[in-house]
Amino acid sequence: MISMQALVNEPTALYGQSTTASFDAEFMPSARYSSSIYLSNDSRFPDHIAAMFQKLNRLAALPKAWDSYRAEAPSPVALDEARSFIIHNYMLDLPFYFLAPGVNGEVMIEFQKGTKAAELYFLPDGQCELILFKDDEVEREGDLENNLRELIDFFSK
Amino acid sequence: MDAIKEEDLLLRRVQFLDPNFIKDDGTPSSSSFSLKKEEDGLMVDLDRLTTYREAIQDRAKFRLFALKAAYTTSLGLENVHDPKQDNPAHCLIKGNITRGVSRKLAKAAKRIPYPD
Repeated sequence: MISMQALVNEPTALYGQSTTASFDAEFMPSARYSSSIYLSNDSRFPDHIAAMFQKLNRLAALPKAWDSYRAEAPSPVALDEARSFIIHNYMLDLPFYFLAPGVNGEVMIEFQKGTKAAELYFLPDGQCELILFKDDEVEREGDLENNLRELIDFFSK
Repeated sequence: MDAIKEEDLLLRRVQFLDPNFIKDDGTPSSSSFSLKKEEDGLMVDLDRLTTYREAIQDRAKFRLFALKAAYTTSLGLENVHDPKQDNPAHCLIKGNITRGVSRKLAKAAKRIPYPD
């Protein structure tokens, strides 16, 4: 992995050309938030992000009852939303940690740093649920649209 | 039906291969301990009424994790023996299994060293 440089408090507009530069702000949540901690861009995905894409592809092949307990197969909508989130936000300084399907067709991305964790669920109906944890106790629950800033701040403090 | 005792262990399968839903720290994903919308309880097997070989179903695909019955009740959940014709060890963990509770269950679950 090529080393990355942290750019602190730089608006996305100043960030320069990146692999996601062609995406509209409408589809790029990070672009709607004018400041944060961003990692410098690179021409390829970091290894752990690339591994998440590979895992998403494997999730798409899971059948119904993949868990032996009658789980729904991961929803194509949820898979697309999760993929889109990663593409548009992997440059944010978020501790992407794990990815797994849920039993109702959702896809969960987990972030973890020390005693803090967050679970971001992409639901089959296109909605999102975000839960922030400290020492495995729920600190905050909400949707992604109104809480991306909180998600970033949660791990940067 | 057997009464479930505080010291009983409740077994749940978690997929570990292609893809793996067990994290690097050895704990399973929270979603492995969450409830389907129409389910009235989290399905588990009562350890003392089964064998690991039976409970794991497919050892090429799953690993077993155990929850102490006392722990699930400490979260306000109820352990109910719900035997099935093909699985006398079948139980349900009933109650309000929120995302937060699922995470606690996943964190508390201990990996059973079977088959390795």
